[in-house]
Amino acid sequence: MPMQFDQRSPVYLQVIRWFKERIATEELERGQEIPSRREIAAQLGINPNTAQKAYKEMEEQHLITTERNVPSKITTDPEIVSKVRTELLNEAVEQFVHSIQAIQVPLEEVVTKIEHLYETKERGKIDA
Amino acid sequence: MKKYLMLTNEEIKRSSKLYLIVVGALIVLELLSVVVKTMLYERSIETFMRMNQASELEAVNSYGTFSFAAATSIFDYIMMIGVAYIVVLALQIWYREWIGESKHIYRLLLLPGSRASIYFAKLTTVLLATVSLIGLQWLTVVASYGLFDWLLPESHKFPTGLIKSGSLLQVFYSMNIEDVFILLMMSCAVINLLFFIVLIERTFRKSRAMIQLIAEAMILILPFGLVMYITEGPLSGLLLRVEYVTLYLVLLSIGFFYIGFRSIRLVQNKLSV
Amino acid sequence: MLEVHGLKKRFGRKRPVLNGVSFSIKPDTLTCLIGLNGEGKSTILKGIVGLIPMDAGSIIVDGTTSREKIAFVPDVQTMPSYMTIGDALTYMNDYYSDWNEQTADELMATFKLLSTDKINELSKGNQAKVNLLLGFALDRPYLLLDEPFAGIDLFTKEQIAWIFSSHYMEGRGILMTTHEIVEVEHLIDRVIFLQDGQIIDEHDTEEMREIHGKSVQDRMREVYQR
Repeated sequence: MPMQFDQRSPVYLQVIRWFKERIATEELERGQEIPSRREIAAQLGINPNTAQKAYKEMEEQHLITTERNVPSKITTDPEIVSKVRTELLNEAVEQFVHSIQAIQVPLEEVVTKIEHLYETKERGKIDA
Repeated sequence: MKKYLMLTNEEIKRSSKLYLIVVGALIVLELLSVVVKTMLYERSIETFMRMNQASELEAVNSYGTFSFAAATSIFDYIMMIGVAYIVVLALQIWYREWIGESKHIYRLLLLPGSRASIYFAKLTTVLLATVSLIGLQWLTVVASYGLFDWLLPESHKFPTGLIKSGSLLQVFYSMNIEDVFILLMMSCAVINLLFFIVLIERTFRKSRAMIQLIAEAMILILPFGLVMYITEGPLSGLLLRVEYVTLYLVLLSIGFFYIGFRSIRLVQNKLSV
Repeated sequence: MLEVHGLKKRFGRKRPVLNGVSFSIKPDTLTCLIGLNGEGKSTILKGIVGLIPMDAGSIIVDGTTSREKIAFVPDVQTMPSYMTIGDALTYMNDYYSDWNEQTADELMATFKLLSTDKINELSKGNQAKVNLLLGFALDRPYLLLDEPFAGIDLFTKEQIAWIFSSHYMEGRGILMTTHEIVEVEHLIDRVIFLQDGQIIDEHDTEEMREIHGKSVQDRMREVYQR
């Protein structure tokens, strides 16, 4: 389904992020085939050039592997997957800390809040 | 060539509906008028006979015989309508490309190939309409005479001179190949001129168009006037009458071709949406 | 490459609308020509394609001066009013040797258009789709679109925007003018800005975002609100 894009940041990076999120959650498993450039362009509603750029960059970051005449696949390297998870986690935490520091809440309170919310969400998942 | 043929086909298709309606109406009117007029004459004879206790012969002698000219008296006016239709067609065939929701002129100017074909296709269409109109009118005149002949007893007919001379009708009835040719040439010239005026109007903005038209008129009339002045003034008597006529015809032809080329050039280079 | 050199055009005796417009369109890119209302965007497109004769300037298409590699999608209907969509397709097939019937059929199906519909009875959105179809179904490497989104509803806009993420984009250099920049910004590769009859700014959109953190709209404000 077509994505909503932030118009101030490069579209191809947002596409890569889309992949990274799904790699981190293993929605896209290691070694799994991914749609072709054409297909992903139509699916996400982007210019095929952007898809091309994204795939090229992902290949350089070893997130995907591409061989001739064969659909691209997610990397099979577990280290890369864990690197991606760490990367996303770091980003999220950085953003969070940045916004929390703006309102100057003490660390303890922050940590308590996080634990509480996390547990509630986990329980919510079990009940559902 | 292929583009020209396809365009001509398209133009004919687009104009055929109106053409058939107008021409059909004209023919019907003409034939009807002959029938009605003849019947009215017959009625008048009968009335005269009854009113004056006269015999048929006496009635015809007193009242007068009925001529074909009388039966076809409104033909001239109807033919004028035909001429008016051709003029309207010559204008409308261009203006319809700009008017309305869809601007077909875009599509025409975008088509691959020479743009001159657009001009020639429209010219052909109007000429075809003219020629067929002339032909159909001629047939109608002949048919009218047949009707007249059939409906009217011999003794009622005006004996000599079927048609009053000098009318359009005479031209039609006594048509021969030369006449047709001349008529065609004249129509061509008029249509050519109409196209030129339309194209000037479409190419140049209002005031500029007027100026342009006046300039073109000067270009055309000046040499003509000059020649006239020379040949009838200082050089009069130099040329035979037939040579005068030829000279003017040559000048007119040059004018005609000049207008034609200018029109084509406008379509090729200057016509804008 | 479609190169535009020094286009100049003046209407009447007023100031020139175009005063030396030059830019290029590369193959396989979607370029957006941006300018305020009445600045001459439409005039540029029509000048490139020969609908409005220019006072000066030239067009070079892949090294030639022939316009036959450029297709144009206008913002008005161009087929005679009596025609159905099917008639229009036949028309294009007859006159153009580079008409691709298969592409036409595919787009008819994608856009859910019926060949028996009369063009002038279609909604504005469907008319826009027809125009788009007539342009894209020509196998030409360059395509110019004049306000393809003008005055049409959201859902039709999405359908039309879809074509810019489809394989029909491949191998084409496309130049588009639009005011609906918000909805298609993410699809555009390049922007060129027109002001006072000249191109005053050009950017690769992704570079602009990556290096300057600016969206096309941001840049528009900078350029036009000085």
